[in-house]
Amino acid sequence: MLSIHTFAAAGADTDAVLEDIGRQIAESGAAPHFVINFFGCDHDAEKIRVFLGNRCPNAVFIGGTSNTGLMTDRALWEKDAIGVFAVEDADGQYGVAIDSIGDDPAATAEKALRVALENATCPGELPSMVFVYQAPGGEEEVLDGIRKVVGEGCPILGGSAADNDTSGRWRQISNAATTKNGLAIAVLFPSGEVSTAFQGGFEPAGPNGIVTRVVPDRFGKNRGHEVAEIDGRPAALVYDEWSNNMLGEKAATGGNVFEETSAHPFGVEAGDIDGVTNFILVHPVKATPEGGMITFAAIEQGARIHIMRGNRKRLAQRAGNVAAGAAERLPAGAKSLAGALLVFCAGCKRAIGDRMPEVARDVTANLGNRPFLCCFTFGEQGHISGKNAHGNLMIAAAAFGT
Amino acid sequence: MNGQEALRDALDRCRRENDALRTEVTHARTLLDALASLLLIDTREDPFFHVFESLHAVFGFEHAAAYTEQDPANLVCVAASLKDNVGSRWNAKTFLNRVLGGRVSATFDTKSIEEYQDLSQSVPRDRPALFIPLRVAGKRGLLALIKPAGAPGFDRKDVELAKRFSLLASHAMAACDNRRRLEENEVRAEAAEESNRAKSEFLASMSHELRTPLNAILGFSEIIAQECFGPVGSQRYKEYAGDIHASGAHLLSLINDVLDVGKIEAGKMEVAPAMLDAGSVFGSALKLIGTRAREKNQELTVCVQPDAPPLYADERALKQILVNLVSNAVKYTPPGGTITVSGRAGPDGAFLIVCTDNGPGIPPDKLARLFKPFSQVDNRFNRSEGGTGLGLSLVRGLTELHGGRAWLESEVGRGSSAYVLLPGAPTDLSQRAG
Repeated sequence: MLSIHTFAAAGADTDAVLEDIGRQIAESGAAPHFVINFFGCDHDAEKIRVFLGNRCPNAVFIGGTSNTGLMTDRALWEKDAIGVFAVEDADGQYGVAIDSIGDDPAATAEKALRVALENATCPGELPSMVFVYQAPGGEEEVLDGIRKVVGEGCPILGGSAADNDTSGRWRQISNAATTKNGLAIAVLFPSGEVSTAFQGGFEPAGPNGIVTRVVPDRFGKNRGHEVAEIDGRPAALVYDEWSNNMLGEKAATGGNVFEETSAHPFGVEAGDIDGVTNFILVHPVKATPEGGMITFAAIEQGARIHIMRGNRKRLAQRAGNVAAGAAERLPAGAKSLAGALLVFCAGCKRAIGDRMPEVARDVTANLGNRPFLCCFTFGEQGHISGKNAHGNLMIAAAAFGT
Repeated sequence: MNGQEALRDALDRCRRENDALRTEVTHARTLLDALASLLLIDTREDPFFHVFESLHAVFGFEHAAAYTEQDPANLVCVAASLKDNVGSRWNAKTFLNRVLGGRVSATFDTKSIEEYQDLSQSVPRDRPALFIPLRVAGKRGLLALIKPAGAPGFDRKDVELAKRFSLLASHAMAACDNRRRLEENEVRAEAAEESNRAKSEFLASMSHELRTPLNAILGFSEIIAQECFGPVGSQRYKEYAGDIHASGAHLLSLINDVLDVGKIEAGKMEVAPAMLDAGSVFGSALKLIGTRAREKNQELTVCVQPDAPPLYADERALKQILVNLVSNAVKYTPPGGTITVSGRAGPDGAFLIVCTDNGPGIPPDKLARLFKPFSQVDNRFNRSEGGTGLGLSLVRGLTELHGGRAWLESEVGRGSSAYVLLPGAPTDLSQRAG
């Protein structure tokens, strides 16, 4: 029978934090088979990798850095925390792989997925879920690579590893290695059920337009991470008008707009997915001097783009609702919930600000005090109405049934 | 987007969502209907035909096969859309063992699966497949559904639906199998009953046909032995005629027993109980046997205890019961032994007959079968003591015709007691007799 434990501790000294976590694991008597691990970017990833290998010898593990802390069923942790989500499941199969993303993220993802399936002793089989944790950038291509192997019918959940200040100190971790610009991937064949949920907590504010030009980047001709024009005009100017001049001077001069746009991301219509129209949120993080807007997620040229709105209260409640939604989707219902994993957008966390402790309490209550671990990321992947997608300012949740 | 557009969009979404839900419900209903039909189909039909048909409507596969585990890890194809595959074997390793253990598995790349290397070339490969565990006739098994080459693979929704199907299908298959076995058992039981009735009728008929010539043998041998029409000339011929008569008489007794057992089994024996004088019936029934007991120097005691209730039985049948019980006792009790026959009060006004001897006794494992026709303790007794083994069967049959019960108690080395419990007389008769 599948069971889940979470362990966490915080502090500047990596060794001391790991010692604390080691003590917690020993006291729990847990002997996990699969581990997901998140940690602050100031910690030494290699030390954590070695620690997990020694402390959980029967487990495959995967994880990476989380923005300014993490969240568990016990607390909202500060930026120097390390958290462990440990799954005990002798009858399940789990496999992991890690690699540098390189120039062809789709090919890397495809290869890593096949290695992970082999590692799980389940080559050729459709997993219950794929979990990815990667360096920011190329998320859509990574999804494409995974789709090429398992199609669209397998839920993919994950996030883009985040540091505390977008300076590039993110890391990914697995049994075999730690990477800076890598992709860690896990395939899950748990003995219990898994269900997922993926949502943004924003609604269209009204103004919208067509993306008439993107700056193509290495990931595609007609899509890119810089929206140059909306309806034929500089994107930053259009956004500034839609948002009642939230960018101010930066609309003309350019600059970091990560915080200004957190409460008003772009929303791209995700199309018809099993009868439900969904918006994938795209977080603009920088304005360019040329009037373009650089986003965490790629946008297709020709897409209809909206400015979205949300309020702090609604954002604060969303994580609990998403977690509860995933748990309720378990075939045996939320009563069969063993624990949950959440991927929460760092931008949302920032927008919610000092109400985050309230979020932690709300998620805990919505999951019936079952163990959970939540990381804060620079991009989220989830399964939305039958399709896998990458978005920003989203919350993804996976509920594990016993 | 203005208000009208938003409303239209929301309505469209609801409509599409509704369509998707309707499809799911239709699939679930199709599978449930198929499983329900398994409970009603003619059990001579192949249940897999129904299973495959319903699964095809939901999952849209090209080929399907059902396997059951004959020996551990050794699967045999019991049904398949490609008939050539029926009977083929498949060795379960890591992947198939997980499926047999209960995991529904969708595969997108069968090249990588170890077990596929062992399959015959006629089994389609490199195609999306769905493996569903299933219990069939108490054995572990699985269904394999294979899509056409190039078709989209099975997804998690398919897996989730198949999980539910797997559980219900195993129950439905078990119910179908139980029903088939029940029907087979009923047919077998009817055949056995018919065969038994035919046997009894044959025995009754043959016994009757045998008695007719036997009467002539008995009559003429007696005339010769008694020299009714003058001396036979040689004393030896006269002795032979006496032997012929004695053997004929024995044979007649056997035939009568066979006839009676046959009648009882065929339900044609009837008894006419009446109030009897126990002492008188016991005395006359055991007169002849007393002679045999004396020949073996056995002490035969017959008594009806003062507290014995009125005896209500068919006189002829009761005499047969007594003769058979005491004959057995005399036969198996060694010379010099003792045999006691008593009539006494049983429970609820019943009359209990107990025949006790101090013979060799009967082992416990042999006791039960002694009441079956043609059963004796063992062949050794057959050879040394003769007999057909019909005596106790007759005793039980005749006792049961009275609504009573017959049983044996025995201890090896100490002797045996045979009990016959005959129900008491109806109240009005009993009071008159009293």
